[in-house]
Amino acid sequence: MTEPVIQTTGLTKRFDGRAVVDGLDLQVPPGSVTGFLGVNGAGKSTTMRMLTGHLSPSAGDVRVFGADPREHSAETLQRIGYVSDTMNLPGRMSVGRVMEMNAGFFTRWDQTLADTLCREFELNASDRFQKLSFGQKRRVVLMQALCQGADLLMMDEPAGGLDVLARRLFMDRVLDIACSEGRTVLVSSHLLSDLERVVDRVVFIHKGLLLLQGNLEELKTGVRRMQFEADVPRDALDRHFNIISYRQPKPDRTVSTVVDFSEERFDQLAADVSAASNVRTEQLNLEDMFVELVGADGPLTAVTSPGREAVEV
Amino acid sequence: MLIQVDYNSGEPISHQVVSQIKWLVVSGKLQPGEKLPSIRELAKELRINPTTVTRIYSELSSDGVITLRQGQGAFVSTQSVQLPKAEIRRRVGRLAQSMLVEGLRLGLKRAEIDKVIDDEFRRIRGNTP
Repeated sequence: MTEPVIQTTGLTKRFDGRAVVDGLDLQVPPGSVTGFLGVNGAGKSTTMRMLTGHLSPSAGDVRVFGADPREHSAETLQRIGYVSDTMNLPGRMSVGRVMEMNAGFFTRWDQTLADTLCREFELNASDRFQKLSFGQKRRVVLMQALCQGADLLMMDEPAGGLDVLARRLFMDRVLDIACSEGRTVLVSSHLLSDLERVVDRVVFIHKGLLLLQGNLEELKTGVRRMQFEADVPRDALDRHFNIISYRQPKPDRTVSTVVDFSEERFDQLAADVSAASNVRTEQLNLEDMFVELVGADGPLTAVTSPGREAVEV
Repeated sequence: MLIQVDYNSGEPISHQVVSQIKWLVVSGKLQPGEKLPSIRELAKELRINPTTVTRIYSELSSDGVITLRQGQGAFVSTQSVQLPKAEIRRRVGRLAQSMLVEGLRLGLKRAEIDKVIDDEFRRIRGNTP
């Protein structure tokens, strides 16, 4: 297996004794587009700031390109692009100056792409940053990040404030990066339906804990919501599946989402609990999966995904 | 290749595309020996992650629908897969079972289900037997 671009072990950040990021074991393999998913306050931005070296961990280890981000050399920093959830370019700086500045910093700055993106995003070189609307500022920041030629691009809520068309353009550009050899993207977003086609991996975090990570296609294959017209006890399901969520809306009704469904496992469950054979199963899209994971009946602890080793190619 | 993807479906994107490419092959819209787009081309065309396309091609290849030639790309297989008749019956039987269960559950009669099969067959193969 190739070495992950990002690898954290037990990564923890406490503020005033409270763990905002709690023992995160995160892996981002090279060439992947990884969606970093969680509700507000889940710990996504704090994690990203530790990955970029802006924040020091309270405990645990973080490696980006094999080294501690706080000790990255200038060469390594050239390979990393970062879009934070805030936009802090000097207000008086024009879009043209932003491009010049980046061209000076980044040896692999792609001016042709920058010109194309300015056209697509309808930005003028003479526009001053402070005069732009929120959505336009966002576009400048994204144009900047996409053109730096980074091998690793980390983006925190990049599409917030963008309209549907701009988001579509942006996501297609992220795919272009995915199609070029060996470049890696880590992106957090609330707009799960946008991410769904673009990412190949997803990482779900909740209350600072990593709940699930894996290849999205693989997860969609294994994740299944089962609805039983019967009382199927949790421990019976536990014997056969890795459970994401479990609830009994009525005494004779059980709804449970599992991560590793298969016909064989289900047959074993039905042999174990005969009432379980009366079932309706459905596959979940990214948003439904997210709701089951972070909702009230969710796991609150890591769920082991099936074939995880096979996924992390 | 005319392929439609529902990006926000619970059905994995790779499963959707695999079954549509199989449909294109069986219906003759893709001919044996025909070259398929490269991984990047198909990723851009369908606006999906290239890793997903890799998954699609490796699944089609292990099912014998396409052949991957080193350095040349993916081609529709010229030979059909040789499987024991019993194994083929078992696989198709499993699919027939879930189709029948769904049809009967929703109140179709035997003759109506037969008609559904006939209609679908004609859509794939025209009037050839």
